[in-house]
Amino acid sequence: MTREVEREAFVKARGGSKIHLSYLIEMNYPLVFKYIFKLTFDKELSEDIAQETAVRFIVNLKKFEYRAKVSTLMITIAGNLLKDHYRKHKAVPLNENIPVGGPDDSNMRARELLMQLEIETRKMFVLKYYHGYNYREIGEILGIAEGTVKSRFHYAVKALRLEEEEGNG
Amino acid sequence: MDDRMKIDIPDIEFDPALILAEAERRIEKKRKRDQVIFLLVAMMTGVMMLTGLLMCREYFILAQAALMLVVSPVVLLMTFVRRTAKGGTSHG
Repeated sequence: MTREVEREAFVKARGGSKIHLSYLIEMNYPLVFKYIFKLTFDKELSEDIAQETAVRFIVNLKKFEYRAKVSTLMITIAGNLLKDHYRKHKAVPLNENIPVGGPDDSNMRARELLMQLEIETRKMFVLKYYHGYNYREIGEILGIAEGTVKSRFHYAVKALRLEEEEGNG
Repeated sequence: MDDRMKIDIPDIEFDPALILAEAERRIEKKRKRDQVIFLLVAMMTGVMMLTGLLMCREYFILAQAALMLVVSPVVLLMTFVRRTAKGGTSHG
């Protein structure tokens, strides 16, 4: 979906077109689900947050301007919802709030490595490594400076490499 | 790191129609809540205006004209000014 097509769909959806709204949701829901799943490894929670994100996007659509991609907007909403979720369940430490998989879990290694990171650093890593966002976009999504994103991302990569080397050695 | 960092995503099932329906329900709920808030504010303003009218009955014509143009905070201010102008204090 090009920016122009998306912009047109966004404008029409804001004007009340359900078809265009449906189209935007269909295009972006899977991305939000994947983003949350990579952060939490929890299918149920990812579904809940992705649905809530889509609903909030629609409810607040008239307040939004088309400046960034819809996916960026929805990822920002999803990230904030996840933060709220963790705040409500603060009895569980942030970096340990990941369900433990069984021996047949194909995501076990990625899960082990990612769970070493704090949730905000994990978000940066997932956005950069898996979703290909640049530092500026990540900064906008997380509401922090581009320089902070860069330094935290490099710290995350270093920590993961170190962890992997230890795992191999 | 690439291969081992690969994450298998479970199948995604969702129905945009259900999401749209839920969003519409919330929009309607918000609209109703806004209506109630508007009614409450209107009632409060009405009560304040009525109070202002009663308090300013000595200057009824002036008060009525002012109240038609401005809302309750101005009436309260006028009342305060009138009381202090007569030599009283805001504490009565």
